[in-house]
Amino acid sequence: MQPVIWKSLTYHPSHTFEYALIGVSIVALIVIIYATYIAYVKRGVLPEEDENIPAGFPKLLTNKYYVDEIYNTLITRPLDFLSGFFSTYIEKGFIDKLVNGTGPALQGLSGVLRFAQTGNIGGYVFSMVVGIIAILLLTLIVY
Amino acid sequence: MKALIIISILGVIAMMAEVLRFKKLLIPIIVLGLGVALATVIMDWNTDIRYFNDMAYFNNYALAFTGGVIFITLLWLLLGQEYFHDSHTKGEHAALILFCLTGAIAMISFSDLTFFFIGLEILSISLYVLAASNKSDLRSNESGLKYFLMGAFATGFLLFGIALIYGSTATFNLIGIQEALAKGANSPLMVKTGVLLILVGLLFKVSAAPFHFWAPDVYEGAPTLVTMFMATVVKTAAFAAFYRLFSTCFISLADTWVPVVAVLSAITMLLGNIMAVFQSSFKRMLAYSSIAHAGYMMMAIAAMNEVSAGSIFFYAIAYSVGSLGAFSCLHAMSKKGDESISGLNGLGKRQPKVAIFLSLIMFSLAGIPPVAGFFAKYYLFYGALMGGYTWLVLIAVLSSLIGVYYYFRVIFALFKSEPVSDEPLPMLFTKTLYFAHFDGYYFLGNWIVACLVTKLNFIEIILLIFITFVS
Amino acid sequence: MTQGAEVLSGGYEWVPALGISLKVGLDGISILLVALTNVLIPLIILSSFRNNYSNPSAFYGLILLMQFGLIGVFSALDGFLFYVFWELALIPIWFICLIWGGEERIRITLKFFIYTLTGSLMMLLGLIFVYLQTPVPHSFSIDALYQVALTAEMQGYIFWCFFLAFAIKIPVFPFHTWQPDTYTDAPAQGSMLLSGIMLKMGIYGIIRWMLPILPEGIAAWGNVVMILCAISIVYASIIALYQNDFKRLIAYSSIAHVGLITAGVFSLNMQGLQGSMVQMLAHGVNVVGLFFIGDIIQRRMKTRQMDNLGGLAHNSPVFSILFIIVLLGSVALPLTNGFVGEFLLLMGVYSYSSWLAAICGLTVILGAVYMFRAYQKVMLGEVHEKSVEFTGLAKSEKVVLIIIAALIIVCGVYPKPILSIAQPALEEIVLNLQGIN
Repeated sequence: MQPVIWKSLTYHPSHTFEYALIGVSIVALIVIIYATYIAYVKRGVLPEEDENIPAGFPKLLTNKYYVDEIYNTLITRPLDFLSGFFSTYIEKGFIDKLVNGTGPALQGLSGVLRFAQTGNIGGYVFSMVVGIIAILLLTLIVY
Repeated sequence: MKALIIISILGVIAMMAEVLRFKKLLIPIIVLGLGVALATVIMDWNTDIRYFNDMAYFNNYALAFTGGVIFITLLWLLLGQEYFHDSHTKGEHAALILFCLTGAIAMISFSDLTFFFIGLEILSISLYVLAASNKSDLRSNESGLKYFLMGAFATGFLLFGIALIYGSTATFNLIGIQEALAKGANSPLMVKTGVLLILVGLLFKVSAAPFHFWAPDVYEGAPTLVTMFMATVVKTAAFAAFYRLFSTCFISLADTWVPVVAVLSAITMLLGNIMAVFQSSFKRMLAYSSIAHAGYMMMAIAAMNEVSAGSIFFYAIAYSVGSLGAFSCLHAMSKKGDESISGLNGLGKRQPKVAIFLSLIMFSLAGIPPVAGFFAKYYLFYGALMGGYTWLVLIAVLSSLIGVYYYFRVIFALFKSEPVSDEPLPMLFTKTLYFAHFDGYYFLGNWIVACLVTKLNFIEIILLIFITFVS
Repeated sequence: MTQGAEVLSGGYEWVPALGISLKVGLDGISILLVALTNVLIPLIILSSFRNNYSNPSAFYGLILLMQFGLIGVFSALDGFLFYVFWELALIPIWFICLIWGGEERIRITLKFFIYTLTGSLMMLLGLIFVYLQTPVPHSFSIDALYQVALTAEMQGYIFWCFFLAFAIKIPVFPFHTWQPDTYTDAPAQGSMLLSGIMLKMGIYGIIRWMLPILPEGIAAWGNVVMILCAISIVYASIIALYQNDFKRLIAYSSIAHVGLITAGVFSLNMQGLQGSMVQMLAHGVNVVGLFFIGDIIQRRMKTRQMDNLGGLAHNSPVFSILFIIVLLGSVALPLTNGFVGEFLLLMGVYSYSSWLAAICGLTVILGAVYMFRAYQKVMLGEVHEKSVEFTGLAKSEKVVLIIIAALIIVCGVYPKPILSIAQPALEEIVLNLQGIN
């Protein structure tokens, strides 16, 4: 990618900061392992069945903080709704109708204009005369 | 000039064929005569001569168009053989076609309003009779009568216009009129009215809106081969005359007539294309499409610049060649009594060669590259844009799109729909017909048309050489 | 195009009186696209071997004619010639869709043709306008057109004339409605030609004809185009979520992807343009792969509706692995070709506007959503009763998919050749634009 990415990243965090981060996370990990060990293995308790979990924090934990549900309501469902809306109303209901409408509109216009062609010579001559008068009037008098 | 004389003599010979009993030889004689006429046109190239006290003026413009109409007539003869199959009417029909051609050449080469009018009348009167030439068909009679009545009406306006021009300039000669108008005519209103009335007469001939009403009815009623002749030779000649008249003697009054032509051009092309959309009859659709094409060609007259002559010539030839092909297919269909677009259904399966040929023609009429119709349209657009008519070109683009809509219906019928019958169309490349009747002309004529439409580069270059000299 | 960037060129006079010549040539940009055409067309032809189309000679003839038109478009150095090839490429594909297409082909092909022709004719007007501004005698040659000095106002009009043609071909919202129908209804090979190669004509047209000729028009209207691209990305991606027809889903995903490519081009910097080149190739390969996968499924199961499919992976592990590789390329996973392109494109758009980049970035996320959902519905889950009959891949199918998978990975791991081929030509375009703005 060299020809393209001219500017490389210039920000480098210091080494002590990095070591500190690593240390903190390792310490946290050890503490949690120890706490879990004390809570379940040493006491020999089995977790309760899902239905019996008391409300409050334990329930929240069991349902993974409701992240999936929140995600579903906030993102997936609106997105699906939006998708259906765009597809049915905007795409097919509006843009497509606008574009496809030109064909029938043209057919209709053609169907209406065709009645001018009556086959009657009197009508044709009349329209010729009207045309001539219009041309003469517009050209010689109006302009 | 030689071509004009040769063709009128040919007409007289054709009339005598009945009496002197050489009807069998008549068509070969005519083809030969037209060939000679075409040769004299080519030999006269670059001669620039005025004949008969400046009645006719054969410069390269007139020669190119003369060559063009003779060439189209030759192709027409090759494709339209059957028009002369009835031996009772053979001589008359041939004579009428030849006189029509004579009139066309007079209209192309005139240098004097009287000569123009004589040419126009020779052409028109022959056409009235030709349109009604299928005596047993009521529609043909109706068509001839309609054409005659309306044509006579329009001719009246044309003559009145000529009289008004003569009244204020005291001459019929184009150069004389041009000089008189340049000096400033006696009565400007009279001159302007005259110019507009002549314009009306010509607009009628090229079937521009609102003087187009006769065209669909007459085109539909007349025998298909006569319609084919009207849509090609007559239209070409009418545009040649239109351009010659308005580019020379009325150029100083451009402010009066150019807006009219531009606006009517827009209306004509839109109207022709929109009306064609609804038609289910192939013949009527082609009639409306011919109106639309007149609208396109009027763009060049409105633009009136150095590419106009060339673009009209090229367009007229490209359009005529395309129409010849389309009408010859139509003619083959109408022999079975079916003139609707659905009569072409499934031809792609039965006769793929004919189907491909016809779709090429449709592409050409719709103006899609790389066939001739596109280049023709391109020159028109180019000339109009150069003349500053952007709005007109936009309308032309719009109406070309509408054009695609109905031209493609033909292609859909060819390739998509199921065949209506297994019987092949009796035409073109069908070998049985070709050998049984020994009708070599069919094949040759269509071959030339196909070459013209497809082998575009060749023809292009040749025509551009023409155009370069003409303009 | 100047001498430096040009690799090959040659030409003849065509219509000297009007300054039209048969001049063709290749530079880095065109070489890549010509290469794409020539790699994909054999694959497309190979992919059709088990389709048993009626009248195969006409079918393959039209594909080859199409190839001629496409190569012409990518190599024309004359405005008029470009236009002629541009239309020439349309006719064979139109016939392919018309003759071998689905149920509704008449309506759909007519719409497709008239829609694209509208754009093309506007482009022709634009070309004639520019041509009329060249010094007398006018010329259509690319050098003459590049040197034309147009007023800013004029450039604005011509910009829209050109852009309409290209936007319809690409397609960009709101000119896209012909595309899903056409892709769905066309025979599989038709969809591959349309989406794999033909839409690149539009992007190529922008790079070759718009950026150099209309810099001020682009400066004035580029932001509008960027917004349209962003809309098309989000809009098409969201609609893709809803689709049940596999082909239609690919069609909408294609709109989203090319929207991003167009945005990259209009970001007018090196990253954006490089990204667009890489992504054009990547998208071409991936989308051909996806349409082929759709075709394989449809041939065996007689349906494309994803609700009626499921558990196909059970019967054909090879197919499912190849499918997942193509899919990963299409959702731009690192080490696939899609990643390189989209990453560069997003960088390009980011330096144009960080907001737009954020919106455009949605294409990657939403793309992953709908593509994986499709995979899940088709390949995994309950084994549908019909899916039991799903047979393994035939040899010709395997060859095509393996080549495509290999291209996806090779271009993803080592994109440098692509980048360096296009580099000089693109640099020139960018420098020219920076000189103006």
